[in-house]
Parts: sequence; structure tokens; C-alpha cells
Amino acid sequence: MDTISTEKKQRLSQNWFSVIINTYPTESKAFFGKNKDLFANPVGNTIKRNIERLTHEVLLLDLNRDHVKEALEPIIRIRAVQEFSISDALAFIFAFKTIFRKENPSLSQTEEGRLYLEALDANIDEIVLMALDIYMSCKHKIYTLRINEAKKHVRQLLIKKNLMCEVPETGVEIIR
Amino acid sequence: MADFPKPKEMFDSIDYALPEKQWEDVPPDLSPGNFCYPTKRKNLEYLGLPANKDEWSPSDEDWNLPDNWQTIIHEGFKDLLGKYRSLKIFMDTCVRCGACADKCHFFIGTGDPKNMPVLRAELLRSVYRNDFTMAGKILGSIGGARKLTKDVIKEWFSYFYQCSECRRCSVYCPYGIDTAEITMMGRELLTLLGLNINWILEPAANCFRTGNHLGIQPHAFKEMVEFFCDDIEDITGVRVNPTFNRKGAEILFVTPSGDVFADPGTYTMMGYLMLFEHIGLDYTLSTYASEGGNFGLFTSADMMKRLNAKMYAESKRLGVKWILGGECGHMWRVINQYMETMNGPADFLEVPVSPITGTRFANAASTKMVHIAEFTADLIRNNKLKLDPSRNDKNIVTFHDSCNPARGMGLFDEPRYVLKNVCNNFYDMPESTIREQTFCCGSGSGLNTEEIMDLRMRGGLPRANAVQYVHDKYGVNMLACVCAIDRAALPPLMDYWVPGVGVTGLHELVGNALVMEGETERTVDLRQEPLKEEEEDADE
Repeated sequence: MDTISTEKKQRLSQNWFSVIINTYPTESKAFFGKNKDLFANPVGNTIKRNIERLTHEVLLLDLNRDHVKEALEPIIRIRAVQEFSISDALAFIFAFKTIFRKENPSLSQTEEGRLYLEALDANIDEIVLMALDIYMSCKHKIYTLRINEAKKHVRQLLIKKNLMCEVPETGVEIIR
Repeated sequence: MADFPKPKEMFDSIDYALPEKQWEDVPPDLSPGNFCYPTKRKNLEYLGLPANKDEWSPSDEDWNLPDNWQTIIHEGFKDLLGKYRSLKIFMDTCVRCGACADKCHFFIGTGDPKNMPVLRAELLRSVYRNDFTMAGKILGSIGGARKLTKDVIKEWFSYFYQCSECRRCSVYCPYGIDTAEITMMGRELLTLLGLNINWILEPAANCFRTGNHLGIQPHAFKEMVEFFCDDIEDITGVRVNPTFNRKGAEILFVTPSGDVFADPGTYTMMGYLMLFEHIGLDYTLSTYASEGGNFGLFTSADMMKRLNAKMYAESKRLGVKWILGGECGHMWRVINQYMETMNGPADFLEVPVSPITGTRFANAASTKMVHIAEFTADLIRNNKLKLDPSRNDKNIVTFHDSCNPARGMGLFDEPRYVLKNVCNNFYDMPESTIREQTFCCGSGSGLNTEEIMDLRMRGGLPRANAVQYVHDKYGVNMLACVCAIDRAALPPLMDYWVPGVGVTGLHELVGNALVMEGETERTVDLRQEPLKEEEEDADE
């Protein structure tokens, strides 16, 4: 299966991209899907660029986790702050199983093809798990930002007004 | 020449699919995390605003609106239409061309059609048609009219608090419709029902009581500034001596209280103090007008007028000649767009003239208030400052045009001129994301509150995306701005989207570069961090 043509890869990638874009409201699909200006449409362009990389990676049977993460992370980082539940945010990944089968209907008829599909499905499952980790780390980051903002409101004031005294840095002489 | 799409590309971009539901039938998401906390009743009462409601939550089914809520809104709307001809024009002239539709950072980040400025305005316009136009009354929904219901009020609350009043959309409107003003009117109507958010009304109420958003009392304000003087002395060996509430000073300096109480604004405050000391400016700070920010802009025209009046009342009491304003966002929008007809003209003050260069700021002839970036740019242009930009060499800087000074007063070149003189590494972001087309931080107009952090992150994505570009291309690691809300909102935005990029005010960098008379050799910057990266690394 190392002979997947560039054209076929592009079709797979385009179809996968369409699945993601279809998760947005009808009124914004055309904008996200078709505006090619990187700065006017960061959501659509970031997803498109990285889904192409992800398509390339997922088709390699020997999954390079670092490369996958590089492609997956920017997509999940966006979807983690949009109005999706975690399942809705990540469901697009599973869709590649169907997309690939539709594009290669005869593959399941040969032993070699079936083995390839099994390996591909395993890749997809692993990517979903990686996406879960990324999604949670993004949410964790958001919660941390929220906590920091709440803390920051009063902490600096208390320190500067000498109402709070912190332990000095290591190396500062402490008078006992 | 602009890169126009080919006809085929344009036809291909048309989506003929009908929405599954009409926009009127899609209710807003008012689950926790998707709305700002509503204001506490005490703030409404303190400000003399209608306080019809006890404590409530937007996620409640019943908002306990007053019995005559429809009359209140109808009469309020009528009153606004009578007062502002602009509102009537904005309601009548939109041809739904869609030029604004994809220009809003909240739409770009969320894809929610009600964040298209045209549709956000339609939330109000549909009720206007129903209540105030003959066509709407006769044709009803066919003519784009709809009745005011409790669900419409909920929708208004959701979407008028998902607009940061940045006015990017208005730049593209061929009719010049200012959708930010439509949001302002929507919020003003909601406030008539006691529906406003705590992050706006608490600072506004505090401003009335103690002079600033944070509720800091005069003695604490003075002590904080004196604390900065100690820090400046530690860093430079020079003691600066600001005065407070001093009658007879030539200039009153007003800045947002965030510069006094919130990092990294505090370093910008230190930069101002150093600059004024260095040039021997005859100025004073006020503990009464201790706030440049004006959260009235996000509440009602009357509240905006009352808060703006404080600065002018204080300048009259102290007998100063003119006002110098710090790095603030909406203070400048109020001054440049609304001051003249609201509180002005300030004819008891003089047209500002720089006592150092003799430059007459004719652009401030009405408001008598000069922006610090203009003032400093003028000093540099007249060779009045000795600067060592190499002290900022560890910073590779880009500039975020804060929406209000940029679109509200056209302040594009002065901050860049100052930056290019105080640092050696400056790179602008792409043209479509700066100057009058600048993208909002995603947290303006009272939305800089932690409970909607997800919304702020998606709203700030277009700005962060442009920063990412210069970060990757030029190694930019510092985002400069001239707005206190930006200095509070951009650090978490960078932390989420472009880790490794810090945030600074313009005058923090000026303070670093400024060679003051009698100063000792500097080893640290205003953050008390080593001037050069190697020194930082050696310390670790």
C-alpha cells in the first residue's frame, strides 16, 4: 500500500477536511472551507494545512507519534475552545476510517488489503487517544489561566503593600 | 493591487444549502462558561441604575423580568431613536451586503453566524422593524420583523456581550454603519432591565466611590506610586518625585489604574514616571481622577459622560493647563469620539503645548488632552531624549494596534516611531491585521473576565495567529501595545496560542532605553530582570 497516489491522498485529505468543516453551522461552512487567506481565516487554514499532514502520517503504517502530534495539536487546540463537547470536537478523527474505505472499496477483498485496513484502524484509534490527551492539556491550560487571573488580581497588591510576606529567594541571608 | 478572486472561484464559494433552522429559531448557549457573570444588585443601586432583579443567573430559565419589561424596552428604544439620528440610520440603511460578515474576530474564531456583525445588528434591527416601521408592522416576519419576547432578551444578552465593540466591522461597511454603537445601544437597553455584567458595573461603581476601577483608596494609590519610585531608584540610581493633587501644576496626567496595580502595566507606569522626571515636566497625578478607563462606554451614554467628567472636573479644580493621557484604550475612544458633544468643549483649559519642544497639539484643541505616544514621539523627533535602544535588545518586538486608539483616533504611526527609536528589533505583523484593520485582543468592552476564558481565546485567535506568524518568521518574543485591557488580556492569550511571547506597554520599553541624567549603569530592566539574555542564562 505504499503506492497511494498524490491525487488520492489529496482527495482523502479534502474529504477529511470537509467532515470537520461540516461540524460548523451552515452559515460559516463556506467561509471556513473556502477562504484561503491565512490571516482572515485562521481556523479553516490551520485545519486544512494540518489535516493534509495528518493524512500523510496516518497512511504510514509505522506511525510517527511526534509528527502526528505536530499536525494534530493545532487542530485540537482550536476545537478545544470552540463550543463543542469533547466527543463532538474529536469525532472527525474516526471519520477517516469510513473516508478511506469509500475511496478504496476493493481493499477488503484481499488479505493484504485487510491487514492494511486493520493497521490503519489501529493508527486512527491511537490518534484519537493522542487527541484526547491534547484536548485535556488544552482545557487544563484554560483552567490554569483562569486560576492565575483570579490569583493575580490580589496577590501582587498584597505583596507590594507588605500585607503578605513570601519566603525569600535561595541565597538571601535570613535573619533568625 | 488586491488579489481578487476569479469569477469561478466566487461562484464556487456560494453555498446554496439552506440552514437547517432559521437564525431566529436557534437559541443562544447560556450554559455556564458561555456568559459573563451578571452584575450584583448593589452595583446597580450604587450607580442609580434600574435594579429590578435580585441575584440571578443567565442559565436560569426564568429571568424574573419586571412585569412591564416590554414597555421599558419599547420606550427605551424609542428614546434612543429620538436622541441619536445615527441609530435610526444604522437601523434603516443596512443592505445586508455581507462585507462585515467575516470581519469580526468572534465570528472568525467561533463560526457562530450570530457573531457576524450584520446578524448581531439584526437582533436589534428585527425588533426595530416590528415596533417602529410601517413595513415591519404590515409584513411581519416576511419583512424581517419579529416580536420582542423573553427569548429575544436572552439572545441580546448573549450576543451583545460577545461583541468587544472593537469596530473592525465598521471599517469595511460601505454605509459606515458602526455596529459597535448598535451593541452599545443593545447593552443600554438591557441595562434598563437591570441586565448588565459584574465585570463592567463593579469597576464603574468603584470608579464613583474611590476614583478607580479597582476600588483603591487615595492613600493606597499614592503608596503604590511611591513604591515604583523605590524600584526606579534601585534600578537607575535616580529618585523620581511625582506629586499628587498639586494645584497649579501645568499638566494633569491621567492613566488607567491598571498601570498602577496590574503587571505588566506597572512597568509602563514606571516608564512614564522616569520620562517625566527626566524632562522636568511640571505635572501632577490625581488620586480622584485616578482612572483613565471609562466603563461607562460599555453601560450607557449617561454613565460614560459622568465618568469622563471626573477628569475634567479635576483638571479645573487643580487649575492645570491641559491633560496628558497614558496608554489606555477606551479612554481615548471616549475622548476622541464622544467628549466634544458629551462634556465638551473643555474651554477652561488651554490648547496643549509641549513645554519641552514647544509643539502645539492642534489635534487636541477641543479635548485639551494629548496621548502619551504623541507626546513622546514629539520629544524624540526634537532630539530631547537620549536613548539606548540596545537595552531592549533581548526583545524582538511587534506592535498590537489597540482597537480604540487605532480605529477611534487614528494613532498608527506615533507608537511605531517611538518603538523604532527605543528598540533595535521591531517587526510589524501582516498588513491586514494591523493599523485600522487591527484584530481585537478578544477581551475588550468589559469581556476581560475569567469565567469566559474559552470565548476570549477563540475571539483572540485571529490576533494570536498573526503574532504566531511573526514569532515563527522573525523570532518575535514581545508584543507591545498601548492599552491596559490589552496588557491584562494578551498575556493569557499568548500563553495559550503562542507561548514564549511576552506583553509590554510602549513606555516600559521607553523607560528601559531612556538614559537619565545621573543614572548608574543599568544591569537590569524595569522588571528587574537582566538586560541581556546571557546574564539571565548565567544566573540560572
